[in-house]
Amino acid sequence: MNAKLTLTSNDGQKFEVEKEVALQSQMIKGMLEDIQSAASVPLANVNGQTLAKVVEYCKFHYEATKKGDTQKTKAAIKKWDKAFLNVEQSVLFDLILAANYLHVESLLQLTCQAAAKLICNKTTQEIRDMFNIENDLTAEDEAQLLSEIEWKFE
Amino acid sequence: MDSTEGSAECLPIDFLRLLFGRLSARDLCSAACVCRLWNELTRECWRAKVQRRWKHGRGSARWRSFAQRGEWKRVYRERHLRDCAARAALRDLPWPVRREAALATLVAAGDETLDELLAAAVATTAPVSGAGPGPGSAATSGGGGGSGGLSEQGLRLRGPRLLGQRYWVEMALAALRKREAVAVLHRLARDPRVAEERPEAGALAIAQAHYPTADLSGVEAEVAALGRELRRRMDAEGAPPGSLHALRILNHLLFGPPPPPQSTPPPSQPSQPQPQATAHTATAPPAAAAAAAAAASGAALLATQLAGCDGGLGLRGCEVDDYYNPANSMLCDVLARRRGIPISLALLHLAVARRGGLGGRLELIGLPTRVVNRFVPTITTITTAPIAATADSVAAAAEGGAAGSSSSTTSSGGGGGDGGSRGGEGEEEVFIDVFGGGTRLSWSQLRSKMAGLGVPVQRGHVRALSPSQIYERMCANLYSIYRNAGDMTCLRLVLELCGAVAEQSRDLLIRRYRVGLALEDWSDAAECLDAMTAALTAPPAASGAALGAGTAGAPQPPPQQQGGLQQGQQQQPGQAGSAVGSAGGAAAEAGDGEDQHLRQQLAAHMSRVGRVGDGG
Repeated sequence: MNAKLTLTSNDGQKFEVEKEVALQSQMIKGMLEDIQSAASVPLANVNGQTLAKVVEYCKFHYEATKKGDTQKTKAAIKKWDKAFLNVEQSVLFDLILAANYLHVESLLQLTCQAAAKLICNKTTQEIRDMFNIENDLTAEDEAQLLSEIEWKFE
Repeated sequence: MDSTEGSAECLPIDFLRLLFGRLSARDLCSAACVCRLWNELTRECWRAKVQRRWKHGRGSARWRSFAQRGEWKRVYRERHLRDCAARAALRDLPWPVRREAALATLVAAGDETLDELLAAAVATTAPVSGAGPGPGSAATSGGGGGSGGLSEQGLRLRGPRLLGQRYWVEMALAALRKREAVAVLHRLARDPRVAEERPEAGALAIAQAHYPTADLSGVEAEVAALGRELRRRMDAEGAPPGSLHALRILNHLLFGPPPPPQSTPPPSQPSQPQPQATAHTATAPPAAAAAAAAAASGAALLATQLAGCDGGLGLRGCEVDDYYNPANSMLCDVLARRRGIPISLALLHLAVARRGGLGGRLELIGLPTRVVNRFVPTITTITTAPIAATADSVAAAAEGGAAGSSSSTTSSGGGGGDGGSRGGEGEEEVFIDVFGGGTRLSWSQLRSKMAGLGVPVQRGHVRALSPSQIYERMCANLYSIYRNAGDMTCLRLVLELCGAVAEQSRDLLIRRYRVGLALEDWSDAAECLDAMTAALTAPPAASGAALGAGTAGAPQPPPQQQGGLQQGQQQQPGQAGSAVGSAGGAAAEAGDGEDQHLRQQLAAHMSRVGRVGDGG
């Protein structure tokens, strides 16, 4: 069961992981179902730094789920996840993209929550700056939408 | 690939959807202003948010028209504002001067504040777990600073105000549920067809008024599940609808011994705290309601327990010393405790039969002091029934025939009663003694049994009760229980429920007036006086027309009382009316200082009204 798999990032870095670990990615799983003998998977959309993080995440969660579903391990996972996401915003966004591309559901949920936390209680302009988005709304639309923010949230 | 620049721009759409689903309403609004794409995408989230936050009060035409046009954001916003108003009203409740207005606001908003109130009640009962009353993402996103309305509520209510807050939430909920129950009963009385299909609805409304914080929808589901189980068993045993065999299956399902012992203990546990809880609705802590809810959910398991085996619920009549326990009238408690008084058991029997498509004619027969069910089969299936049962039903048929011959003479001599009861002759009718564990009785057996109880019954007593008559009788039972116990708060509750099913007869008004006085609720007492004067001073023609309409609409309004009312009017013409009217006006604007004066005035009116009551 300890078959290895080599993941290659778009900048040529190689990561050797156990097959079981890699199978957390639905995308890799689907790929392996097509080509069963594959020992190496090239990932064109993920750079080495991000892939390292993803592999780290998958490895930890693979080990953790093997230990069983107790209260204690759950708390440990939570703690680890929190530390894991203690990264710069750009890394977080890369992680989101990678999780989305590789289809690692739990990681996607985790990063999503982190992103939601980022947005929480920010003004529109702050969000735009953070996400690096240009405002393409017409002036009246924007006024209308802004007025809708101002209902009492106590 | 430059990872800092542009990566956010190309965040995948799927991810954005996921992200927006996790945002609080406030953040979602901010996000909508970011750009066009975000604006579009956030629009899709509001629907889920509305549906997650509000479980009640979705039916109003206003929300539906918004929803049809896809304006979920607007629905959310307006409902949110209403919740804010409700919360403000909740804060005002403890203020003596503001209480009435606050209560009126809450009650007027009706269903729509229900979620808010229930959430507040939950937050007060379970302060530790109060952070996540909203399921799913409200709890998960709550990690990023209290954001969802509900979790905020949970946070804010923790603290020293807890006990007081709980009391007031309870009070508001009680008022709301009471109004709802009255409305439901009203509707059922007007529209007998619904009551015909779901006879338990009215009884549930009565129970809901007693347990304001409980979610009783489980009871209805339970009845439906029992109905499905009945149908399944009927199919399995090949009993056609309308046959005696089908009736036997139903009786076994409801009154038969429970299935193997290992599954019985759980449902019996929640029954422990019930008896006391019922008697004090206004003061009952949510714990009682929670117990009722637990009982309901315990009952929900019950049908699934029964599904596999062929055991029964084990319903039976309550013990003699428990007869005047109000819990015996509440369907949720009846199901949980498996004990009841005849009328509640009979109603349950009827409801399950209707749901399961028993066929034939099953009716509630309101004998004096006792309710039994009568079943008139439309198909005789002696040949298809099992052997043991065959002998049984042959005997029953023989008895039925004997009873039929004897009863045909009495019924023709006694003027035949109403049209529904002339079943005695050719058809075999079976009475089901629901109180005595579902025993099947022939008419002669029933008569001798009733004679044994000291109540001689005649053929003329055998009259099917309409659903609204059933509810009226249930209310009357509760009324006498509470009156004997001297529980004024509950008495008033029941009177209001009575008022919904019965015509606003003068008797009811007088009772309500007395209760109002006993509770020192001057405005309510004055209202009763007003209503009485209005009835007294109404021109005879108009009241005659109302009387006619009443008899046409409902099968059995109390016409004698209306007639007596008009006679009474002659004795006290205009002067009583005007005096009472002014008392009512005074009471409405009365401050605290005028109470004494008003009390004397009302006492005088009461004695006068009492005289009129004796005269009529």
